[in-house]
Amino acid sequence: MKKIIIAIAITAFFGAGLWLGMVQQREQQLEILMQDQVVTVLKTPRPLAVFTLQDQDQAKFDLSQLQGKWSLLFFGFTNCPDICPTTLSTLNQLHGELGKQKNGTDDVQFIFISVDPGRDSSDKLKRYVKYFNEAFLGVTGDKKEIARLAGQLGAHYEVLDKSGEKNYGVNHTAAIFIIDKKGRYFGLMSPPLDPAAMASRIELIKQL
Amino acid sequence: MKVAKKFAAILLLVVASTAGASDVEIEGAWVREAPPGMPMLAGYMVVENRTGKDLVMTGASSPAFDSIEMHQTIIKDGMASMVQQNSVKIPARSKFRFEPKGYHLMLMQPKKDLRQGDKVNIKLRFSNHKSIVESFPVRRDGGEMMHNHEGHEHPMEHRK
Repeated sequence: MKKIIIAIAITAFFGAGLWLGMVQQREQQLEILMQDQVVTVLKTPRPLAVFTLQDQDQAKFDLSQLQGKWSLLFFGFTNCPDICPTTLSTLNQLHGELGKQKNGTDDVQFIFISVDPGRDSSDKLKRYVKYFNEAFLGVTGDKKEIARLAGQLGAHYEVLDKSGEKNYGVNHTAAIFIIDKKGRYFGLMSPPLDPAAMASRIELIKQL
Repeated sequence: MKVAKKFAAILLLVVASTAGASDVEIEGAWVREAPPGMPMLAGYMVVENRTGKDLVMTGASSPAFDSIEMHQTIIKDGMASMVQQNSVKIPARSKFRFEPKGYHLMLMQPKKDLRQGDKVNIKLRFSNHKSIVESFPVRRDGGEMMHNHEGHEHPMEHRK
């Protein structure tokens, strides 16, 4: 176990955005971690600048809410019939997997950030996220503030609402962003998202 | 010779007319249950084309929804987007999967909230085959990994 932790530390030391998979060739003992491309870790966690959003109860959600716990962020919108519910179901499974681990879910929060505040009220977001898991948080707010947070993570999205149609689409990043307990951008997980694989990585990352 | 030609023509007709119910099969159809009040749902299924010709699906409709569109979720450079499909080709003698994070039926404005255990009829239209009405059960989704069955053709190579 200790070897693996050291291995992660080594990995974290390597270049920013380095796929852990690439390390496999160099470090045989990393094999357990490196079966697939599950997580990307930044060389140095990047502190986030302030932003102000609202949670599902219309309470202020700012940088301080991303401190004290590990946070998993997913950007999307509720009028999304396929990828968002699929990902939230997967995150619910991840929540279950983490619950089985030694450190559980007490120090991890799951946050769904709607990039479509025009249609996603706090109330709607609340119904939406709680459907998948009671512990999930739903956050949205002013477009500029969403962009302020998303921009720092390189989380791209595009709201296609110019046509005046009600059923406009939204393109958004499919990744899950990892914020550490100090509120710093730590890394990300990309599809395909396997709950068990993600849980094992998070458990290891938490022990750094 | 003439007789032989006629015989061949009749044979073709017979083959064409008997190739009805079982030449295109719908398997594993389901609609993803959504939180109450959500205006858009997704439907999934496997279409098996047992014929020797490519099948062209042109649309779907249902009394349970205002309208239905065919879409494909594409993840490119990390960005997920949905691309509407006017038609979907199901190659001869193959199975085509409508599945999470891939092709899906976008079910718009359900007439009522659908809960696990409900069933909805959806009519699937083809340009070169008669329409098929399929019953889609509504169920909760267990996450994407549940749908990665082995041994089927896969329209999108998002698995590693």
